[in-house]
Amino acid sequence: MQKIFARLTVMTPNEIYLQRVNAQFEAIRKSNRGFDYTPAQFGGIFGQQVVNSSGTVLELTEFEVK
Amino acid sequence: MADNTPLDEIFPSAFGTSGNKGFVNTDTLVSFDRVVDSSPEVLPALSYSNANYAPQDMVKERLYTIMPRSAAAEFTEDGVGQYTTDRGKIASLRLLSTNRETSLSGRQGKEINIDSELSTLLDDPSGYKNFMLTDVAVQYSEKLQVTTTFGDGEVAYYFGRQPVIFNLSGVLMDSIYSDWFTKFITLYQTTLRGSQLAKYFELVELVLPNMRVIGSIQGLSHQQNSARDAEIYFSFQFLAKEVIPTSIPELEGNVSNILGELIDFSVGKEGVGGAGYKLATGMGSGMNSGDYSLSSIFSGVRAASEVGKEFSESLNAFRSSIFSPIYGIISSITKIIKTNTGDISGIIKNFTDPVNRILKDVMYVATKAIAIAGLIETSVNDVISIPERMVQNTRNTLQSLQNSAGVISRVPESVSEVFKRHYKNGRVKKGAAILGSGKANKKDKAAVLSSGAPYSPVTAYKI
Repeated sequence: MQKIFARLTVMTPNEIYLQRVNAQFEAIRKSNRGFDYTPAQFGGIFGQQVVNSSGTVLELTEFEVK
Repeated sequence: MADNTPLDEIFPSAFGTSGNKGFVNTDTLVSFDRVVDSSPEVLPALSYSNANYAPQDMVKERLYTIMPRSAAAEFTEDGVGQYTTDRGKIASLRLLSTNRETSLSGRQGKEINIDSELSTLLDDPSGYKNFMLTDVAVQYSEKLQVTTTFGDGEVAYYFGRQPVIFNLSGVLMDSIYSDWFTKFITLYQTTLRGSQLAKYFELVELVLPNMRVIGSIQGLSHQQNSARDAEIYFSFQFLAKEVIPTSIPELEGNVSNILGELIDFSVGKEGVGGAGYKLATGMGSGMNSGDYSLSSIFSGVRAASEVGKEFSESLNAFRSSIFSPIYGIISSITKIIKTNTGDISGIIKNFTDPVNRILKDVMYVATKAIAIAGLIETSVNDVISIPERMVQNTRNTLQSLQNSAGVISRVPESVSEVFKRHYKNGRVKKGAAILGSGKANKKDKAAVLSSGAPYSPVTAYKI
């Protein structure tokens, strides 16, 4: 079973921060349900640095595959 | 899971009595709805009420944090307490002597001068540090005699503790920059081994981050391997006369400082010399570790395509170890090259081709494919024109995953990119598009808005 949900998001610094926090929670939730979890990386630390200041629109695809 | 009870009521011992401490015990649960006197600015965001991030009943969910002991080594910046992000102090050795002159005399290696090492061992309060200790193992046990008796009981006689022997192992560098190996072996032969210590009425003090151990060294072994001849693995056994645990220094900053470090890249970070450099460490052939600045990584005399080719080669070599979760490698290197060359479009192919090969590999190792999700997103984040097969490969990879969840981020396709892709795979038939550009045979130009500026994240934003 697949759950795939994609959305376009303006990557403001606040959004990145929220994504980071969300990743912490989701990692615990998903691992408790037996899923391997990969948080959004946004291209590593350099990518985040750029995204942080550029207001780039990214497509965020959340997935859950059984 | 909606638990709004303050944690200090649930685990009273885990929290200090001082009102302005977020926590005292570093591996306890931290409740972010806790009232903090200093009102750190970033904390309210953790309770952000947004259905995209957490259902309403999860808004005050607790966040589990574990901080190593080294994180408590704080420093002050502009009067505000900060925590260091390094791994803390490394292990060191000291020589405890009853007579300094006796300890120094007559202790020379046959060909190696160890005067400075000896004086460091004896006089430097921070000790001798030219070795890297990686493992410590010890077992404490008692001298015990159990005598059986009639019935269900037994009699136990305790006669004190058994000798406490630490098994320690680590790495000695043997490179032209670090002549650790010969110095350490010579020190062992002349000074550190138990017989020499006894001869001069000395003891050795081993200082670890969480304890000090005083005793003598009863044996040393080392192992060399031609494949990694600059690192020599060694181990020694340490007979401990006294073991003194050292407590963790009390945290003096506040939670906001810790969180701030996690997301604020401008705090004390400069280029790859700061956090970026740390990210780069340990990526094998992708990058070298070392104190490099952005400009010195790629010296600028090489053409962008050459750099890309080099990257392509190293990424191919990287395929074998791709399943370890190293995040952000491709995009990170992409950014560096982009910063240095100003133009990345010419080397896109060099980045996408090896990634596609890796994706194909992953199809056959689906259960381990979780690491690739991070790879996909990092590979496409900075690609100016997203190749169609990358979109397809992303889908295929998702289909091949098992028991996985996560988030992939990538630069979205523009309208023209979507049309172009749909033309190619036949979903949009010729003549079906709303507007043509007047040149019917230019299918990729037929889509709306496609003939303007080249696609980039900025134009996508405007669209």
